[in-house]
Amino acid sequence: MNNEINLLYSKKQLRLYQLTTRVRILRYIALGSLFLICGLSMLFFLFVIASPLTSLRQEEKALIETLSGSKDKVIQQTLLITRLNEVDSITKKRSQYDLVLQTVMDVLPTGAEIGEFTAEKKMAQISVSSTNLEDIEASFTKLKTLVQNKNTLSQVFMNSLSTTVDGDGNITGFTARLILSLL
Amino acid sequence: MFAELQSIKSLDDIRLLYFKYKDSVGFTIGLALLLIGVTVLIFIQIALPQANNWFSIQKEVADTTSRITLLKANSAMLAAMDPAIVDRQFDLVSTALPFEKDYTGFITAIDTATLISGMRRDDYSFAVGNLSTKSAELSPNTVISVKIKITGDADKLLVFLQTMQKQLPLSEIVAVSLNSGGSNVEINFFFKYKPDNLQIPFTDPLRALTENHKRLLKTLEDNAGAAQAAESIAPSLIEDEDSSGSAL
Repeated sequence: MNNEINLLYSKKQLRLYQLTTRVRILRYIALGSLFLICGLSMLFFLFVIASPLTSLRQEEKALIETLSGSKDKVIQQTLLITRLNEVDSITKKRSQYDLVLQTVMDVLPTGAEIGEFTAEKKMAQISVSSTNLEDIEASFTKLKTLVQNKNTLSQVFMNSLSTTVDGDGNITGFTARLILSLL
Repeated sequence: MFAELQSIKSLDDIRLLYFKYKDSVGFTIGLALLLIGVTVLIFIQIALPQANNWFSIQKEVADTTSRITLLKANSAMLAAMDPAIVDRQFDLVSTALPFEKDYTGFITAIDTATLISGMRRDDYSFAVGNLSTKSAELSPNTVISVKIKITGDADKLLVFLQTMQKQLPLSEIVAVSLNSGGSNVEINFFFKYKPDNLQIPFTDPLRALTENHKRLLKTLEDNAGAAQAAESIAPSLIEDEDSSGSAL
């Protein structure tokens, strides 16, 4: 019998047409992934189309146009806040020699008198004199207390102690260098 | 099969080959691989850009929404503000920290402190510098220094220092020296130029006054009021004083 007119497949030819499970799965995977990707593309396309971005941009533009009319007020308010912050910074950082002098004057006995007071940066110098030696001693003690409190002064150095004869009595005085803690 | 492919001469030949091999394993695998290839191509060329586009749009939507929220908040805040109060607060702060070298303010502050303390003031002078040039406006130096000589005891000096702390424009006592001959006081007056062409984006959050700001404004207002009261008590004294702001 001639093979050329045989309509039946040979065994070899039959093997060519027998799809294995793996091939079937591959076919399903190929088809499935194609549909999945096409579906996803469509979905993202629809999401993009349905996005509210355009309307939001229009709303933003309208609000900016409204605010443009109040531009000066916006600048004024911003400058006000900035200036207030700067004022706050200045008032907190500036030296407080008045407080130093006030504190020292408050603790000195009534008989003691401030002859000299110099203050610059974190240092001050003070000259105190009195006709009563007890006042001078009390002044020392009070200044030491101020150092212990550390609120105004951190250190006190005695520069000199002197006594001057003045008419009826003696005037005792001292000069002290103060290291300030509050500046 | 390759011989068959080479012998294709017409569309009918292709059709014949298709019907012959369409159920074969090779054709099925080939078709599946082709589909996978097309899928990958669609994924790279269409799906991925679409997804990126959507995610970027989502981000833009979130950003725009937050900007709109800010704009609405700014708009509401501006609507709630009383322009008269803001103007007054702005004027007060501008007096405390002037936008330029406010010599009149500086002289008045010194005169008022001198007057209140009861000290006697000698002549003094300012280092004026450039007034209206661009370099002056860009200068980082925002203090004007003045050295004055005043006469009085420690009690009066204390009052002077305390008063100067409360005067507007704001100042700082840089150095003070009291002795039997009088007192030398070095004062720095603060000022700050207004930024040129100030542009504030409307999408920047407009800040409201904090409690600290309100306290500060109250203090400045009190100090300004006290200074005005002092000036009104003895206006003639201030006017008669020789406030020689001579330029160096």
